[in-house]
Amino acid sequence: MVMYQRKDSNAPSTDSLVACRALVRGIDRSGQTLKKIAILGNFTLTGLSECVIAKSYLQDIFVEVFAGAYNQWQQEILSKNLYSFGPDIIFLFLDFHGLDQDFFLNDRSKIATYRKSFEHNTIDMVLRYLSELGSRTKAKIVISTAVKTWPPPHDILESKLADGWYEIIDFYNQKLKDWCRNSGQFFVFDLDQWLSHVGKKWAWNDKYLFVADMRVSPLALPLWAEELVSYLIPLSGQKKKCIVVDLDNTLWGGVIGEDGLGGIKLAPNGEGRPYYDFQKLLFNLSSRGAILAINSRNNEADAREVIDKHPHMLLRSDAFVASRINWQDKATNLREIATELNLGLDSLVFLDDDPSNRLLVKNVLPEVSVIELPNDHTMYPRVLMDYRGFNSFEFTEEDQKRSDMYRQDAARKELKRSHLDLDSFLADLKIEISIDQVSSTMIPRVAQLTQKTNQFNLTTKRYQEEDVNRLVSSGYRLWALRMRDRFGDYGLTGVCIVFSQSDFWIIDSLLLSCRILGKRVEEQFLGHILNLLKAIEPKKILGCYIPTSKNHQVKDFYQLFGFRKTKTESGADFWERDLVDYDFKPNNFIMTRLDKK
Amino acid sequence: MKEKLYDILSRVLEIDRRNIDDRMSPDNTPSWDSFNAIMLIVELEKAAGSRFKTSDLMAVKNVGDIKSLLNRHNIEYEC
Repeated sequence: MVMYQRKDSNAPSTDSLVACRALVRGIDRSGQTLKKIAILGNFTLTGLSECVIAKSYLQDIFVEVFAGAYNQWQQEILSKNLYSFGPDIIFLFLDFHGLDQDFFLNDRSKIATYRKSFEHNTIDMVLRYLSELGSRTKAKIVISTAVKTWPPPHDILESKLADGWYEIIDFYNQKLKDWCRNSGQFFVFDLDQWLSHVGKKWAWNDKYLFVADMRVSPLALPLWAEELVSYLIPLSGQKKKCIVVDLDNTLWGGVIGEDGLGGIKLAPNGEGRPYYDFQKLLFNLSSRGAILAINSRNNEADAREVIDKHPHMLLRSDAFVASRINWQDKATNLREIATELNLGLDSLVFLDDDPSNRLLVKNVLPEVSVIELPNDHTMYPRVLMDYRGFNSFEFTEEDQKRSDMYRQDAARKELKRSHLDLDSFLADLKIEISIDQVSSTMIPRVAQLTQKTNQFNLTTKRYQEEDVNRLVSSGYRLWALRMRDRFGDYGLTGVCIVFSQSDFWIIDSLLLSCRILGKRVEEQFLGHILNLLKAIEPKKILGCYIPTSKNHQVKDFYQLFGFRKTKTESGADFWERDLVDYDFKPNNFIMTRLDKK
Repeated sequence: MKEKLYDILSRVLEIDRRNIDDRMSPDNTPSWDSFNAIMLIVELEKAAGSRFKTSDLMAVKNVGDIKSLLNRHNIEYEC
């Protein structure tokens, strides 16, 4: 799998169970924040933990694993150990053989009856345990689908049976998916599909079933672990935001400057198809919230001709939020793109067919994820499909709108160049903000913002949806900022969380998406909130700055509002002011709508 | 075999190859647990390039048994 590209050349081997274990022995986890993973199941999962730890390590994710006792998933769900471990995510792998010993006894006359009892008893039982588990933890919970073995129990007649075994398994799997669909906590890992992909013949129902009740072969454990790790990406804040692509021999075959518009390869069929499919995948990723940018050594006019005029180009100019088409080196271009889009280098992924460019970027900008493309360009689509760095636990409207927003931002920057004075530029933007108390529909986005916002984030506390719900129900005050201007709607892009403790208001979190920074909206946001708090109860307010590698810009933010630094403790600065004499004067070029509830 | 037998054993069981002899078994080797037994099968089959019958594998009680298993399959190996 390609997630692990960044360290490919010197990455330790994780191909086998032994290699994974050897690697695990050498991992120093001291001082690292550990993600906690629990693995439960009804068959032997020995060795999976080692593989997960090793594979996570290659992703710079440090984990601690709770491996449930063999075939005791129900007991684990009902006892305390699992919960005192404090898992961030729980995997539950259930195989039909373990749920019902008689499952594959082929007495055709009894299948219909069997199916009824199965639906009423077994499925019900699994769902009851799932709800129980969900009610006892806020961890994400991932349940696997049941696996169909080949050939079917009734072989070529299987599809003639309305209540055949395949039908029953499909029904069970569908039930699980339906049950999990609208939950932010439960996810289905399609073990059956994954095994079909890698090959059930070697990875499932191997002889290890009889040796040790292992269903997934030990040979397949390292690969399986990679799938588990793909769920850790959104938990660990390693999620990528932008794909930067080369053009010649990456988005199309050939070199436009030499082959010309008619000579390059790009078409839904024939030689150009891999490039066409590759573009299609990039398009799909962008509709999932990734943004695209170009980094190409070319004459801009030549490249634009392809992008604007080639009949089979899927990604036109409007698909890209930034581009550097020039003769500069690619690392400099990447740095400029990151600055233009206000993104950290570590949220960029770089795609280039030329190994020397990849090497340059890896050496000069080690934070950038460089995808190792194979020599055979027909494999490019596969490599991109296997890249999991954009995984997320939720869809949000903002994801779909993100590319639009970055483009509007580019238009805005264009405008910035034509205005010399900042205040008149900002006035010209016709900025409108609204500050509302967080309502239940906003919670997924609020959680997402706490997880993704790095730069303008005073305390960098990461919350899952469940955490936000808990804060709301325990009396915290949560405000959300929405912003729009003449170029478009940025949506929900700021969060402030405050709670009251005897004589103090305490600011738990204050963050703004980097997309809206530099427009003096940040001052308006906190200023209005301080006014609102003063109206509720004019007492002292305490704010805290916890430094990270990225949030230096907000180090002295509270000073702007007359806070005084009272102490510095384990790196964090504590700021304080009295609201009694606070009076915020909103500036006159940002229109503000306040929720005064 | 592609790899020396004692190298496999020392890698899987995490022991010094000099301490390996024919009588070494799960009974006198704490690290020879069920997990490592599985890994031993995986690594042996990989190095030998052949797959053994489950019942033959289950019958292995010590290092000497592994050698006779390899001999019966005419697999050349070094210690």
